[in-house]
Amino acid sequence: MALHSFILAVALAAGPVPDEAATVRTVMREALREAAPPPSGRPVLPEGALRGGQMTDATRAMKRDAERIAIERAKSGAAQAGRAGSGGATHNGTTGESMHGDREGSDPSCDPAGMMRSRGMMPGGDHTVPGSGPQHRGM
Amino acid sequence: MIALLLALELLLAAPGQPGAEAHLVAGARAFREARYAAALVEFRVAQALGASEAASYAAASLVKLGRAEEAVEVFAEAQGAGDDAVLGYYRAIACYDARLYLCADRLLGEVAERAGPRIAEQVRKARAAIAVELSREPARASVDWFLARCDERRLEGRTALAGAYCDEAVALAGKRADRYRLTEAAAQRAALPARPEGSPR
Repeated sequence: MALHSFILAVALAAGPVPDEAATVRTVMREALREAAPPPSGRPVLPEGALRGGQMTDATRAMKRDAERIAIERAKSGAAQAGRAGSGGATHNGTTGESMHGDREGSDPSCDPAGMMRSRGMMPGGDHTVPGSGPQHRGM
Repeated sequence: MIALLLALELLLAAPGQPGAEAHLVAGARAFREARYAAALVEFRVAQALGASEAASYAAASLVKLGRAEEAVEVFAEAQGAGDDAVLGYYRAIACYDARLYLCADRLLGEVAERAGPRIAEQVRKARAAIAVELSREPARASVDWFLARCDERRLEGRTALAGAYCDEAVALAGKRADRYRLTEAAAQRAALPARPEGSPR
């Protein structure tokens, strides 16, 4: 009986793909096809220093950090995932940088001195004090 | 009865949880709406939760975001990325944008007509352009550049990417009459871990 149940479970686990996954594959295949990017310009073998258009390692590291934070937030709840997604939605093309920029604006840790001042003035030291976000965001 | 319940527990504990699917769906929706940064986050989460196909989709999102090197790396770790012609095209573009033109040419050759007429036309144009660039003897500075890149990425621990740059250096050095730094490039490549299965050569 136990063996039978185990085999049943394995068969189900390896069985037909759930409808949702199949739908995602279909949607993605079509979306990938529609969004297929052309090659970026004429191929030229590099012969020296990085060109201006290429990301520096520091920029790349910042993008990865921003993405890691977004993933952590997405994992912690659907609502936070939605917020992370909408941040990128408004800046297609340079979304990584915009994510980082937005995160700098909303994250008090980006300006510790400023936050210390705010906390000193605001009882309770709540870093969500109105007005502190836009001040950072605008910079 | 208890055995059946245990079996169901096993089933529910299998990879590819409903949570992973929810993130896959959210990622697909975001990608379709051209919100590639959001799509990337969702696919990364789905991947972490066990959705095997999510890695390829994350890599495709990276291509759309212009993060070619990361895309090359993620494609290298994705399972079955080469099976789908459209994803194969994205992988080729990742190589192209990272200036790994020999890698790109190989992958574009595998995609050929399989990804539909529009992509096939882009494949033809890209391969023709690569052929022109590679028709002349590569400069010594190009070999230097790829070897330096290989070393940089190796020091960062990004071995898949380092391997791709070293492969390119080996191939370009081999196209030169004087085999400039070929032995060194081959030794540098050999010192890296073996390529993951299915990764571009």
